[in-house]
Amino acid sequence: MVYLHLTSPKWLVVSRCIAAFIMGFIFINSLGVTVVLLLPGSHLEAIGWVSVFAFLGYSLLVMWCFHERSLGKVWGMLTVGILASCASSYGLLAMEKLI
Amino acid sequence: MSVTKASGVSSTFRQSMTWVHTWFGLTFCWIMYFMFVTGTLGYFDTEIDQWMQPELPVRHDVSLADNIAIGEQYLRSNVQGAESWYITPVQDRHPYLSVFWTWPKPEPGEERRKNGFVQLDAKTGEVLDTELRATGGGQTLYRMHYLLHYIDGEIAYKLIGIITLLMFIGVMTGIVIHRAIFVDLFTFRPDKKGRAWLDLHNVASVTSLPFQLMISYSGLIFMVTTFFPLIAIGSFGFDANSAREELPKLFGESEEVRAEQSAPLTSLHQLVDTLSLTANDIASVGVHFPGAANAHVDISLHGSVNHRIGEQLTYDGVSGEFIGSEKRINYQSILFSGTMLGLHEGLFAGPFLRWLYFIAGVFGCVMMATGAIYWVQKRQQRIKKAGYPNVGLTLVTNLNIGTITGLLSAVGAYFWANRLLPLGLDDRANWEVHVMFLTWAVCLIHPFVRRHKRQAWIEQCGGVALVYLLLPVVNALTTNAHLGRSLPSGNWVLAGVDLLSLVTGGLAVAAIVVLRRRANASAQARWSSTPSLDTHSTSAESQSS
Repeated sequence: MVYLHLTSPKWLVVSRCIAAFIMGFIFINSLGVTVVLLLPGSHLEAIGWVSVFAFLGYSLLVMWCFHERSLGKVWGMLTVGILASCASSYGLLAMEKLI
Repeated sequence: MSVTKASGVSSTFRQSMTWVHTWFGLTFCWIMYFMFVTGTLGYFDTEIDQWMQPELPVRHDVSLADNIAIGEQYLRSNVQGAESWYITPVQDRHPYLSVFWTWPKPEPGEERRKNGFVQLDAKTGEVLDTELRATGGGQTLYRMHYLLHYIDGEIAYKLIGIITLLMFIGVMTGIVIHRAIFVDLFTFRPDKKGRAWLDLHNVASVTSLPFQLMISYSGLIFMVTTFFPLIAIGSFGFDANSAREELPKLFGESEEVRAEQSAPLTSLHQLVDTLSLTANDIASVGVHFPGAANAHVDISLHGSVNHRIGEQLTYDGVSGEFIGSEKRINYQSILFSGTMLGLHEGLFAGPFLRWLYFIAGVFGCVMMATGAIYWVQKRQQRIKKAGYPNVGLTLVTNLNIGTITGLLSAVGAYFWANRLLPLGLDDRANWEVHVMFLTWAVCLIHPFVRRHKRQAWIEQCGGVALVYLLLPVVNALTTNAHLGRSLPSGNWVLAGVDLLSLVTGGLAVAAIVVLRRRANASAQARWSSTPSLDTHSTSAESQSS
């Protein structure tokens, strides 16, 4: 990492890491709740499948965060994603009268 | 590296993934290497247990029913009022008869009693004196790969989870980088300058790719409930109580409670005797609510990838009547994750598959080591042209030497400590581990005080060779479990550890020979060209011959 900061604006990488790992983590959680509620069939089975593949989704999301050229777009997309999935899972929970 | 590349932004997906692969990999490669080394040894954990406690008798000649009878007798006379009992007979890879029991949930205000575990002599029924040579054994070594050591277990587990995520991303990005995976299989160019280590990295990773994908993703599946509990709880409207009620059903956990009425427990060994099973067919014989009217006996069977999701035979604990053979898990997703976990642990593997697991694990170690060495080598050439020393490069080189070879010496020292520490030493099992980490600490410091890194590599390889070639000698001097006895009697478990130790030592000697030859070759090259280049020979891999 020492080599890294010698040649690059360190904070850009830090910001990207925070977006990928922390914002990404929040997004996967909120998206996960939405997908569980959307999946047909048994609720428990849906929890099982979403949990099993949560890390795959998280990994792919992290990879995307490091691929997308614009850091602003990374933060923007993640923020929109979190807000949208929180809203939709809230709506779905309200429809099923769980909240 | 250009600014855009260094900040992870590049034009093509392949380029950006190369950045991720390089930096995620480099940052944690030493811990990943540690996980691979200790985890790989974990595939032979019970074998190492036996090597580390050669005094304990292994009774492969006792029948299954007699095994169960001994365990049953111990539990009946020593453990009353337990929630459940488990007896695991002596099996091919389970060297000792062991019994395990859990206590009922404590009343509010009471403290939970610690679950019990005892190993028994399957012939005499005596409790095995495991303190005779107190040791961490193979279990301590294996546990390090997901709990580390000296750090609070919960924190370490989470840390390992994050590193496993990076490892999985590392494997995925590795696949993206290599457009021609099949070609990599057959590419090894030891003579082409600067490519040998990359080729080795590719060969090791690509040949074991399915294993690396499986092992890192299944490692993550272990972590799901630790990292993503909110998905499950959130889908219950964040009502933790209803989640706590519902979720155990997913894992087939029953909510049965012990009946008030008591009743004598049926004879376990007679029950087992009526079945045409051998010890190797059985994962364990469990009794729930022993002594209660609703007691039942669960015989959980091997024969699937993960016995915890496999079949079990259930009997009435009082009458001994067959109740049914039931699948414990009714959810496809849990069967899937259970299968992945079973693949990770490899408990189902017979000798051949176990060796494959071990070799794949070794390839994982090689993958981490060669990746780290290649990182140094690639930058070294560039920095040599610039003509000034680089702090980061030296640091990585030192950590490479101190970990890649140093950790091997440290693990060897762990085995030495098992034989050489006084038997009466207080806290002996912990001292074995202290010896391991002290050795590693010395190996980590050593390259920092050596100016010539190639020399440091040679010296550390010498250390590895010494530790492993002499281990069988130390073993012979201190115990009766040495090759002179284990080979003639065909005890491949004990002999295997000694032989593998000799092989490791032999490989270290081979590494020294190669390094020496290269050192000579580059010294000659220096005489015939400019002599000033070697002021910073940062690693042994700087020049290929």
